[in-house]
Amino acid sequence: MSDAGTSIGGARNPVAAGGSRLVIDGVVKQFGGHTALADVSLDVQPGEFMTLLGPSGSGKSTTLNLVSGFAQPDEGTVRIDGVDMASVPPRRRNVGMVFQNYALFPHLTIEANIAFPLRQRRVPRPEQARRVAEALGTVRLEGYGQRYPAQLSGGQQQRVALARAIVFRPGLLLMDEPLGALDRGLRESMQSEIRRIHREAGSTVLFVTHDQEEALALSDRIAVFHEGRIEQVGTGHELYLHPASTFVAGFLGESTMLPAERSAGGAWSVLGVRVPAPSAVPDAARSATVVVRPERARLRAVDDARQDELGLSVQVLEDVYLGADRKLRVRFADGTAGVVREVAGSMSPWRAGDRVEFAWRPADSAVLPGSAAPAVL
Amino acid sequence: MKGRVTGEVTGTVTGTVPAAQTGGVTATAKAKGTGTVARHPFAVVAAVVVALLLVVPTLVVVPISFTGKASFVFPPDSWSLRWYGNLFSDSRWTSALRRSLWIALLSSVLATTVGTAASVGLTRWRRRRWAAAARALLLVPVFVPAIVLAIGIYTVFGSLGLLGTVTGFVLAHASLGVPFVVISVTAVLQSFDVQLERAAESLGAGRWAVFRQITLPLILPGVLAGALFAFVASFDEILVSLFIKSPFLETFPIRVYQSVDNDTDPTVAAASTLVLVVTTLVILVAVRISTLRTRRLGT
Repeated sequence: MSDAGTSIGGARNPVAAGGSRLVIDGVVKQFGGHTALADVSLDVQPGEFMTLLGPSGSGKSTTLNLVSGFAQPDEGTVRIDGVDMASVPPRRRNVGMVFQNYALFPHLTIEANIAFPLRQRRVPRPEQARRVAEALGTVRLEGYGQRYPAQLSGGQQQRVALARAIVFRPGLLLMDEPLGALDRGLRESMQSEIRRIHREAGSTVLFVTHDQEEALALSDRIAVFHEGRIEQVGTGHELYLHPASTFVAGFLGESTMLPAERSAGGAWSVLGVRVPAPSAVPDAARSATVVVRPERARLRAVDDARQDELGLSVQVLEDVYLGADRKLRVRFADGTAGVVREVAGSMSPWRAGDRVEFAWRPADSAVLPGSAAPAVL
Repeated sequence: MKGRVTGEVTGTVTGTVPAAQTGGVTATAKAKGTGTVARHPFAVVAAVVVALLLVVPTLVVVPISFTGKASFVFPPDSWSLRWYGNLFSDSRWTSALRRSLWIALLSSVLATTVGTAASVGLTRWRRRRWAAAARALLLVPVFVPAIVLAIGIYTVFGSLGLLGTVTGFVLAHASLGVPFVVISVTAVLQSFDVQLERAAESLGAGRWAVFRQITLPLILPGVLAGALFAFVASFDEILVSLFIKSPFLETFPIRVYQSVDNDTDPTVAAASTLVLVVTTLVILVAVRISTLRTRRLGT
């Protein structure tokens, strides 16, 4: 196969504009006696970059397998562009998939790897060559077509896997922890590559990761998985500022989680300090969790109280200077761990060992029903 | 990785094949001597002694086949190629040779097809225990005493009218070849990444396309090695053949066997040397293939 005088370059778009709409509706999946997915529903818009985020075993990969067709739901439906996928085998779903370990065919050249889906679809040879060259351009691997996968670095193999998954212009692209095997620097540059390719291609992307930074960097929306359920779906901003559960708050970004209790009289307090009644908590609830993001809290001197702030006394355990910012780990009276981030230009003088007050404005915190698993130092 | 695989394949061949498989044993003994044995002087000496014990009796036929006299005296005191001339001009020998090669070819193709399909199918079987049992069943021809097998085949073929037919020989020999294919294909399948098949399927390939374009090319070394072992298993097979032959359909080894009884000239030594050379070459190629690691496949 030669690239018969094709124009090579990343400018041209190898993937049809417009992605598929994916609707996952009430899906349940069990393995043996273990419930991998308990009633998962998700509506992914055409062209949207949706990330499934969660710890391992939370059901995100199982969800991906149901969409790719390598597993069947016990209950519920998976629909792509309105078509129920129940009786559609993987090869007819027209879904591009990037595997965690790339799954490149070791006996085929890079060109033949990328041409593989086109060959299965009986695309004419010249057209194959043209589109392979385009895809190689898109992932910036011009000139690597004649090599074999083992002759490429991990990052390059990753790009080949990506090119192979988009060359047949699927409306839906699935990626299963595609950057998991790459080192940090490479991962960040691949993230921007993936963003660019998604922008150019316009296909819908379902991306699985357990890395919250990666999820925040890439996604239009994120679905946070926990024990076979989706805890919350939203933009990174929404999830970060308005987590729906203590799990989401704990999984996405750092936070200080403080136990709130309601006395018999109906007044709420956190570690003995009265706080306004939270609105997001059911009336009957007796306990709740106050979530404060590290950059929303400040450490103040004990006598420096402000009217709009709540303050709790803490001891500074550790202060870590990171250049652009500084992170201080603190401990509350009951042993609960807290964290405060200060940016350059407004750093406090406190050091490890100092006794100060952890202060925040109630409007900047989220109050969630239930009590978090306490992070005690 | 591949080295271990070969070890298994050849190791099993050595352990289970009757004395007829001299070529295979020779090749393996040599491989072991240079490869895995530590370079302790005693180990080297022991290896050489064992190798000589195995090889020397076999090699006696080689000089005899070049003798100038019509006798089996060893060592020969004169030399000639006349017994080879005899061998290739006598139609009883040449037709038996052609028939043996033909049967070996057909039966190894059959054994390879069946054995490869079975091996691939068994690795897909979810119920591991049943798969292991089925695999053991496929290896039965190696474990069961050849004479028992021969009588069984003779009885069944008798009632099916397959005695003395090429079809009968091909079927019988193929069943003897299947274990070799199963052993060597199963070995390469252990290092085969099943994820590749999923990837191919997600990219639009049907079951057959996945096998043809992905699985088969990647397990090909094991398949070819198995095919060559199966070829040899048929080409030098004598015991079962003696039971199912007819006066009109004899294989080369049967001809050799009868020649020892009936003829008095060393043509049979030339014939034996020919079998030795063919089997040794084929086995060497098979071992080479199964150790062959395509550079680009290394990761």
